[in-house]
Amino acid sequence: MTKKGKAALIRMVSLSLVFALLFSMVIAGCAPKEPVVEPTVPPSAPTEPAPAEPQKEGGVLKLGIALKPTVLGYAAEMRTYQEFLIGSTALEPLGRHDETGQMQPWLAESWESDADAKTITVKLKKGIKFHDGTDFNAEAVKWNMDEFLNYGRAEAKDLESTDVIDEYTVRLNLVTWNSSLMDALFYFVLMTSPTAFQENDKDWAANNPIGTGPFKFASWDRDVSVKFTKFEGYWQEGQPYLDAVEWHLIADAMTAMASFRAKEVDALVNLEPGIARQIEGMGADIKKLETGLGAMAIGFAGDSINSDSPFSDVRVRKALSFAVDSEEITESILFGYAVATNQWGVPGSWSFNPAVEKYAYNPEKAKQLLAEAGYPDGFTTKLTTLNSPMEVQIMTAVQGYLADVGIDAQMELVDTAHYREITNVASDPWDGLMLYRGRGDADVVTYMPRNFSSKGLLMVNGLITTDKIDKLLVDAAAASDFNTVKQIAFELQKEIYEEQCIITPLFVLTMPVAKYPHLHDEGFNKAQASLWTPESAWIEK
Amino acid sequence: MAGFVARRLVQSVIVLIMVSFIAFSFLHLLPGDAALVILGGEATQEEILNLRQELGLDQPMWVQYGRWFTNALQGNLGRSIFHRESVISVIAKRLPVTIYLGTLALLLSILISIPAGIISAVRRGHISDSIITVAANLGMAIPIFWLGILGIYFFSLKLGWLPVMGYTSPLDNFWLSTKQAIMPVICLAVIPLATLTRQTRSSMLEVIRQDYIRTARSKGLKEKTVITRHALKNAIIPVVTLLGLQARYLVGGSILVEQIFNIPGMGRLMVSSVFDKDFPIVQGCILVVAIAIILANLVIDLSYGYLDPRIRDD
Amino acid sequence: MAEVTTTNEILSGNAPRTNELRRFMRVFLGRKVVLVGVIIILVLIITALFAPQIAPHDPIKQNLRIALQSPSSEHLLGTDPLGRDILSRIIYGSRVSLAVGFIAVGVGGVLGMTLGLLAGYFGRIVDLLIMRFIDAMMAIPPLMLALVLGVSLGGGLNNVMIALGISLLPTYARLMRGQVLAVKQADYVKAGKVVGCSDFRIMFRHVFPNCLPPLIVLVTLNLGVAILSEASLSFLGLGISPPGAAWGAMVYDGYTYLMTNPLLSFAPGICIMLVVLAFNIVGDGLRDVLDPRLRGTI
Repeated sequence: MTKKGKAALIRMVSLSLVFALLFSMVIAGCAPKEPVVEPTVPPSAPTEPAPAEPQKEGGVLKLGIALKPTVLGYAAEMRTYQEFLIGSTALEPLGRHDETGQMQPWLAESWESDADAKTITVKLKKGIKFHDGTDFNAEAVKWNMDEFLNYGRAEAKDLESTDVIDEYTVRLNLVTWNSSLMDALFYFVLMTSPTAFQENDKDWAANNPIGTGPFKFASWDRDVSVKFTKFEGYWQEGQPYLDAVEWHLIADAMTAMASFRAKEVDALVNLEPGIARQIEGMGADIKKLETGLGAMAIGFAGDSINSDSPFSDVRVRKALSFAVDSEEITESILFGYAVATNQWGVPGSWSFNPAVEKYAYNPEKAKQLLAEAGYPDGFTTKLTTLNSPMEVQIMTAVQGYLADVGIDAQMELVDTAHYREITNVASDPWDGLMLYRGRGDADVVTYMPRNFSSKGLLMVNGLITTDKIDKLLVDAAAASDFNTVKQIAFELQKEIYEEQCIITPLFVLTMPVAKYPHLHDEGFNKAQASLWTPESAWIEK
Repeated sequence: MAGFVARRLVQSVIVLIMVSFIAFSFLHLLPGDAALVILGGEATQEEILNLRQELGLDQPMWVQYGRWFTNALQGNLGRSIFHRESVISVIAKRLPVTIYLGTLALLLSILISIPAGIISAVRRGHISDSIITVAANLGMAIPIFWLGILGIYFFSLKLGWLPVMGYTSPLDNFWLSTKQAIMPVICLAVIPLATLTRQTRSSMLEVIRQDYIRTARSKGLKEKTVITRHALKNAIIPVVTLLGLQARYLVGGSILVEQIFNIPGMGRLMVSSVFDKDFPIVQGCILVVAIAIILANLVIDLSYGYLDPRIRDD
Repeated sequence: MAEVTTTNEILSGNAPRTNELRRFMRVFLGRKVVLVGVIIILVLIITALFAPQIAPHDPIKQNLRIALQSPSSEHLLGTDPLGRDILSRIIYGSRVSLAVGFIAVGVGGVLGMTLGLLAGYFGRIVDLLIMRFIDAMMAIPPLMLALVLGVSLGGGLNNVMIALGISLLPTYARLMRGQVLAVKQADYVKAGKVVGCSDFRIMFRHVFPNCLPPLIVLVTLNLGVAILSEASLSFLGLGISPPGAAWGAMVYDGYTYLMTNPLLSFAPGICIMLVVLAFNIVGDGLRDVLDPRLRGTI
């Protein structure tokens, strides 16, 4: 080696070191050294004689969300969590869920149902106006219900028609009595102004939410933000307090977290558990949802409908449930931002049956069941999952657990559109195991039939259905008192999740929302994750 | 010359038609269709069929292409499934953002890379040369999204100098716009910067060795004059060629950078539309980007044809 | 006739090649940086080949109870969110990343060169059609092309490799065509035609090998590009299937934990940087040797 060459080499090496050093400095810069402690209000303020009512008026609330809506102002086409959440800044439904999951009147004053006559009569609150100045009345409700029905939404399948009785009373006429129709319609049909729709068209309405809510729609810059301003004519006296609400649509979860940390937004909605964990101790509060209402449930299921599939054998399906440790997944991967469950909904909700077999993690039992089913050495199958970070991570963990009992599941990633196609009722059965994404709501009639009724729509192309389940689902819908419904729910849970093991449920997310302490009564995750109640939110100056 | 220009224009049109056809065929391979993205998983078969019909997705591919093509000839690129407005108006909102940031990035990379390349060539073997070449090579080796998020942590969270994300038009609020643009522009500039620096350096090295440079030196001209007056003029030609190619990488980079910094430009539009299966938008984006790239190359080719008559006969 | 024989001799690589090789090695390894690059690549290849022997743990064996641990003597780089050993995953990831590089470049190279060869050799209408097609692909930015194609094919390792390969294709076709046009004028090719060799034979035996030098340089540089692009595609949501992982996918998976467990994304990220850097340096080194006009670039 020449002297010059040596010198050059040394230079190169030392330069690389300098760069490496620079990088580690940046890394060090990123690692949180100590949690940022928010200057909090002193616990006792001795100088003040009496705590005066805080000044609630004013301020602009900035919210961050790493999801994007596609429709905001036309209820029949609104389906996703983010559409409901953002939409409910300006739109309100007839009823809201209370903490126990019961539907309570909101835009409605009261309602009365008659199972024999198959009608629900709704009295509306008076003096409510839409943002365009038109009245919220029976005609408006009828128009909204009709749009929803005519669109062909599955939630409205038992609705026959809506009649205007007087200016503030409507009657819903049902095809057959359905105990949960009220729950579905009063929540799903966000009321929008018929006049605004008729003066423009559906596309315009979809982009311009004109409702009765506390905030008026101002602008929607796709992929960037949705902005709302205070609606002075809001029907609740003195509310809302905020001058404006801005939803910032952020593509990347890390960027969203950074913008929260930099206080560019006051709250961050729908955190991924990994992100929520990093926000802990940043001086922010994290609000979790405990009820499961409007939350997402995750699990997986085999193609039990295919008679040549190993999953057509109930022992194999039971083995799946024994093989995976959902408690551990919830603790370690989701950092407690989910509630492990062995059936539909979360423990403690009204439709949750505590008597259903837990299928507590027991790989030995799983292996034994597999051997009984004729697979002592396991088998190879496919595991199809949605290509988004959390789902991939969860299913990778599932894949690992299955490998431990001898099931070699080859993972296949698909995007949302493709996932919807292969799990849609119109498609051929899928092959192997499939990610299950459902609702976490306590339920029997609104959501459960989607997956488990032979007339269902979601994943039914690959899942077995039984006459017993079909009958129970029909009975539940037809039942007229809550106790019967609950009883049937318990029976269904047992049949679906214990006897048949059609789906292996893992957990229901708690849909964490992070907010700084200066934001009060923010109205997220109050009982229902997919509905924001912004009217009482205020910012401490 | 006129013949050459005409020939190139005709070629460009053929290329554009091919681009649209390639894009169309790729898009029709896409699994899952827009109807389901709109309707959600629990859609009934009837809903799906109706919507597919409404969107024209039920037609055979060549019919769809034919319809799209005839519309495109009349300046109508169709209607976005998700934005519920015409593709042209959606793109018209996004294109200026990407062009603005891309141009800044290109300027930045030219301003830095050419002096850096010259210094490193002239001071070959010195420490400055080593720093520049190592930095240039590192620039080509860093995942851009990683650089972006590091930038956010360092400059926004640790130092608090720059906003985390967003885009504001410089016409609305120049100061905020500039602050928001700094990190995205740097991230976008990294690859062109590295490529151009390397090219400047190597063509400079080649030119310096030429006889006329030696002659100029031996005549006793100052080194600075030799470099700037004589060497640079010749060394810059291959760099200019490469400049035309940077348009491709800038658009590629904008796909990543706009995602990180939450910028409503073409890149972000592309990514979300690909996953939403919003065919008309993806198709429109590819076409518009292709037109821009072809134009850039055309201008460079034409200027070459003007400078060097031999190329015209190629 | 005599000329053809001589050419054949040279191409079949007999006696006269020994000196060539010596010159090649001397020039190629003349600069120490190149040597460093070569060493990095050799280490990478050895790691990939002997991953099972080198890796301290099973890269896909999960244990949620030890998730997200900091580095320890048991787990030198700590563990990932599923409790898997990061070091072992990086070691095994070298296989996937290397495969992504080689297969993507292989797909793009073979297809591109074939198209370029056909276009350049036959000229006229073949040339016109192929080259307009290539121009059309050149007009779509590579990352955009790879994304659309990858999503169309449906994700997964194989499809990502194919998509990346196709996005690299146009450069090869152009370069190849240019080389063919230049070589076609050479006497030995003309002579081959005169003595009645078939087109196919002339193309593959005579034209192709003479076009190789610049293509080798391009291949080397593109290996780095492909490995880096895999990371970008992961970021955009076009990942490869777990539990195996390429470095790019690991960088993106770890990226969410950047603040609490920076190693998760930094360790694979630094590997990518080193390897891409090495391929670039070696590519430049090869260019020095194969294209003496440009000697001295980095």
